[in-house]
Amino acid sequence: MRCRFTKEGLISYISHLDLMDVWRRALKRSAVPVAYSEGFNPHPKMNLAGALSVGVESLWEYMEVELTREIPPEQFLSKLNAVLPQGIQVLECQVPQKKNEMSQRITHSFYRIYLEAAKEIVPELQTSLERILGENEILEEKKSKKGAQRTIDLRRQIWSLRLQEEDSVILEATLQTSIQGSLKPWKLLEIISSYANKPLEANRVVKTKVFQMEENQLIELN
Amino acid sequence: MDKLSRLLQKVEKPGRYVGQEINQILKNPQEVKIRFAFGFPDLYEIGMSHLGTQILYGVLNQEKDVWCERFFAVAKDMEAQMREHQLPLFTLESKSPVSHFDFVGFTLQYELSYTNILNMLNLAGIPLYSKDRKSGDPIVIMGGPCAYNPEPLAEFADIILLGEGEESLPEVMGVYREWIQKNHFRTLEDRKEFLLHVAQNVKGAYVPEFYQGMEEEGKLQWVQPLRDDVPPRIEKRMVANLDQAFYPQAMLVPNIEVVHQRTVLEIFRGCTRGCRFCQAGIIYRPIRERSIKTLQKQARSLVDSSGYDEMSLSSLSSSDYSQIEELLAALVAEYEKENTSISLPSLRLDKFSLETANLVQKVRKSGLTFAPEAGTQRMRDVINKGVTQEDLVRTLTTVFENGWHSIKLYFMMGLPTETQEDLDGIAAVAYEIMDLYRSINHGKFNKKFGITVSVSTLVPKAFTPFQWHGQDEESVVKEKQQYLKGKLRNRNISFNYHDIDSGFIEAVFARGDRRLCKVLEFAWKKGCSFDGWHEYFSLQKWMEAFEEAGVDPAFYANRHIPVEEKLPWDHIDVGVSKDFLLREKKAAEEQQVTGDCRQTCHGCGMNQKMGRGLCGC
Repeated sequence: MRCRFTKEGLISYISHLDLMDVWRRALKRSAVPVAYSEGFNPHPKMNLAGALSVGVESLWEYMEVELTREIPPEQFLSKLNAVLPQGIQVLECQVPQKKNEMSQRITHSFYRIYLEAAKEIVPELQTSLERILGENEILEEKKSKKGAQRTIDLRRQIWSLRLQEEDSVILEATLQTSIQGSLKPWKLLEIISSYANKPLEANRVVKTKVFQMEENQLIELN
Repeated sequence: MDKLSRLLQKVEKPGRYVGQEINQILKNPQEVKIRFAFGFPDLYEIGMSHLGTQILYGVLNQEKDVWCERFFAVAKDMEAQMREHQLPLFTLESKSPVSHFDFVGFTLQYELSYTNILNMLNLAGIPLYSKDRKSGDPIVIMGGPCAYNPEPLAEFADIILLGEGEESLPEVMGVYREWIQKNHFRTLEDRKEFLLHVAQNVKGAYVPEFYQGMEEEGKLQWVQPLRDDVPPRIEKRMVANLDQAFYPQAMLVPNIEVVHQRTVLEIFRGCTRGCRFCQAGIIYRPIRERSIKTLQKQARSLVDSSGYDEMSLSSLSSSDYSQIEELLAALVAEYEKENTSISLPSLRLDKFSLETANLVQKVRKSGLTFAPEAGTQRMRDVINKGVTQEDLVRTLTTVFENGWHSIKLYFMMGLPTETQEDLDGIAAVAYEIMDLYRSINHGKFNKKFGITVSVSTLVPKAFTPFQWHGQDEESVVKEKQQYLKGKLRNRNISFNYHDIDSGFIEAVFARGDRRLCKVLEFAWKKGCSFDGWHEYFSLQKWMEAFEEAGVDPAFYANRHIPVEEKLPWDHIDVGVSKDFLLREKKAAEEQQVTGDCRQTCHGCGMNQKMGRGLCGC
């Protein structure tokens, strides 16, 4: 069974590993027929597509679990929603045609970043965004866990940036979130801060859509 | 909320501060009469693993017009952010400032959390000292095992509840409910009058402001009432029948990793063994078991509502449950097919059976832990740990024959009458076990083989037969630790010991009097908090605080107290008589063993007064 779910509000502050545990326990509470792995320490055959950074809310996450027998998707949805913590909600369920493919397919995510910033700074921010988008590359040295240095081009991980003025100033960003590498919204804020030469903070960051890149085009997944 | 959100982005493990757990209780603040903020003076991960917190949360929220919420000590990075951005300490459920509550409760689980209590009060904007609180401030209630020697916190608490809170807390709520219907709560006098009313009408409630510490040169303070209309001795409260007592149907399930991620089934309270160093063994008397039927019912509800894959049977000595094999068999049979394992945290060397071990360790052959506590039979008799060398050999033979490779052993040092022979005994036990293992495994050591020897230093506690005994001085402890380290140098043995510095402070407060309140305040002002965390503990700051307060810590920690001297906790009645503790002290000195009180009543006093007929004798 594949579910699309949300991680909204303060529960966005739990980590990816903790979220896995939250799901495992929810599956157990829901008493849906979950398939368990063999071995000394059986665990439910379940996985999440992609890891959301701590503090980022999302309306578009995927969880997939193997069941021992089929149950109607709508039944699965209501059983899980009855036992999930506040902020995590299943929006739709279906039996996937191909198992566990979502983490392969998703290449980009769309974020709405609610800035803690006065509207007066919009023109200035706009200039910084244009400068960033105008760069050929934004290089950063990164150390891998094994200690090897490598250079990453952050510019390539930024697909689009746009400012919106609503009740507050909102930065809309489409960023790479693929198995080849992801740009965290927090990192993006750092980059903009350094271009704008002033600290930028966000009150909320919400991931609202995901995309798959095909032949240099982004196709929205739904 | 935006402010909180921005702070959370800057701290480690922000999930600690967001709540939103399954089974949390949310109420409409407009519809409740009493708001209670329950504080655990340590990090969320520690507090959420504490059974008592879950029980009291449930018992208070059972009252329709009471809303109990939780708050915890925040880590230092979060504290810095909160102070910088002026965000006062808040509860997890409604994110309300703790200072807005009618009651603020603290559970006292270990002495080294006391500075955290002061820090939490301060971070909440509540005056530290009871005498400085105004009519609009919350009423600060404390309780828990450390409350049996309440004096080191007496000036910070408005009410201290002795004994089991599921009895007294709802009663305090009831008294308050009635009180606010009939009386104002506007002036300082109103507040004082209410506290007096509690002191007079709630059994087990100690209101320190109506009592004073009596001083005598070179002796500990003892406590006397300031007025004759409050009880001179305060009797602890206890649940008479655990089958009928409140137990949560569902427990809060944290969304982040905490110390113990499992369902906890409390199978009994009290312990009949009478180990002479053990405070829990006295203060939780008498023994009270839950029936298998009740436990099965509770287990079902707890497992279903939690989703945990492990259930732990909790008590002071779980293998002593009178029908432990039947209980385990029943639970394992029911839960194995659901992929829920059963664990037994405290195995005794004399009660160990392979059936039990196999039942609880069905899936993983991880290490087993045993606590012989002392290295010689003589010393085990002194401390009344009714375990013999034969028990040890028999048990470990079974253990090794059945394929276990790693074991952990707990010992204590600094015990009364200790000699070098007793220290040598600890090492001897470890080496004997090595030999035993080798003889069972055809003269070879498996790669997985290992013995962990963990040796702690005795902290003499109030209400134990060792309460008069002084803790070993630092230099002696260090010498003994080095001695053992030398003796236990072997590649198959890993030797653990604790830094004595924090154990010293623990000893000071475990037998402290009201003069320590000032020390506590000074230490907190110097930045002491999270004293139980090695990385934050600073003996130097503590010593400066003692110096400034003009208090000698060694007087409290290291002094052998003459038995005639009045004690700071003499006004607290735990049901066990001082006479019994004295008899046990004498028996220890004479190496006389006192048997399990399930077999013979030893007249501790419990059965004569509070627990009539409860311990089955």
